[in-house]
Amino acid sequence: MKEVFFFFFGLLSAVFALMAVLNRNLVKGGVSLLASFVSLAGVYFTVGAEFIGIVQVIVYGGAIIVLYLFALLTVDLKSMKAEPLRLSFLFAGGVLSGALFLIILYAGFFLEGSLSSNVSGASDLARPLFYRFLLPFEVVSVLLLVATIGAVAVARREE
Amino acid sequence: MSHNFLSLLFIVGLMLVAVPPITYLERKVLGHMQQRPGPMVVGPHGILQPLADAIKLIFKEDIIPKGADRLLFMIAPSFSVFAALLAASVVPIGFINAVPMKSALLFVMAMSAISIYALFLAGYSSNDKYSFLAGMRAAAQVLGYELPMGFALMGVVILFGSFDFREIVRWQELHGWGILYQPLAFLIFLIMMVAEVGRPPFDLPEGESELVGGFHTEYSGMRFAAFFFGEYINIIVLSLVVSLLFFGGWSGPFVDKFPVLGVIYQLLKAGFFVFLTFWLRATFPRYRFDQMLKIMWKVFLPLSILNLFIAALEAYVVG
Repeated sequence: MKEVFFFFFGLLSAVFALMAVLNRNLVKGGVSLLASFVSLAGVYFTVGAEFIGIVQVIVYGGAIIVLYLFALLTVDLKSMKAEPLRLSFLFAGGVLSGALFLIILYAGFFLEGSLSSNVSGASDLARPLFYRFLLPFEVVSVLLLVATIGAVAVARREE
Repeated sequence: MSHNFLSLLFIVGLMLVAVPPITYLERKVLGHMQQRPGPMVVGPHGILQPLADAIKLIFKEDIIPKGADRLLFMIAPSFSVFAALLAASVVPIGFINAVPMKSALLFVMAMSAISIYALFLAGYSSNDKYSFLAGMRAAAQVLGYELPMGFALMGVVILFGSFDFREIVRWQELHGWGILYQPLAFLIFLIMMVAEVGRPPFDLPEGESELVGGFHTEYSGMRFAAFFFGEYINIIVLSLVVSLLFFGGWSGPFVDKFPVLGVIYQLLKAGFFVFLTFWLRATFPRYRFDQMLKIMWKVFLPLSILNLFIAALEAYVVG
């Protein structure tokens, strides 16, 4: 029973992700992305990682997609022109997504594991995060700070 | 299993059945606060008014405007009702707990985050400037209230040490009501709750007092009603959450012997906060867009972060 839901939500997530990429209407693409994220949360729920599933919905559904859509609607979409497609872009994107695909494929075929997790509550996640992996965690937070400051700097230069 | 199923049936039924009387009560309370009788025509003291409203809404033509994004226009109202009912399913009322969940409080937050898409998509898909602007205001409002609300809840969670409503109530049975420890969090959460359900003084997405309504300008019939079903269910759910977090939930005298009393206590406590939203609506004018963002980001966000430190100190002393 659990597996049925697992594969159902997984398939749903993939289908919506595809729709998000292929849809020409950006708002519809955003909503498809939201649906994809929520289905992914469903996948987390089916393997018992309810905390991660809920956080997935709050962070991606509640914050990021709202911000995207808000930003999309404040700009005039018709006046924006797409960047001309360059072969180098296509190549870089293809290599990156191909690599990611291979990694996931490898994980799917060779990493053995059961469809149940031991990270269900907040404390199960917090303990490794703040004790065992504290340094990587803090490094990542600095990385995010760099990205934020960089975004502000790039936005200000145009004035 | 069957107990859970019955509880789920009870909670969903309660939410759906409670909405029409609440709309009646709201109009009566508003009326009397503004020194007018409120609905008086249908039935004695207008008590059948919700029924008349329901019949009107069901038989009204469902209009989809030309140039609207049909698919998004049609599914937008469902976000509101679905998210509100899903949030209701994890909130325990007394001994009735449909879906016991470790992170129930977070789940309620997540569903409230989803429900905002109803307003946003309705505004976008209507192909109407008024709706569109209202949708933008709705999105901006989310960006305003979500952070202070989250931080206020974090303070409470640090103190109680759990996201689980049952644990939270148990903690309060031992140490006293949450409001005694976290009055600041209570105040912030209450204000953010009003902002979340989009009631005055934060009814920016709806703009009811304006000549042209907000995101729902182009909606009619049951799709229109669905938004308000969602909104009222959200009010009930968040009132229940306030009663659970700050007022001991179902705890009270003689609950050990008669568990039903707990349900009644909790519904009374939550009922007061439902009443409070009517009261606010009768009392305050609406904040302007920039005023709303200013108080959210410059007043409540720093206060809620300060409260986090207070909560940590309290948790250290108490726990």
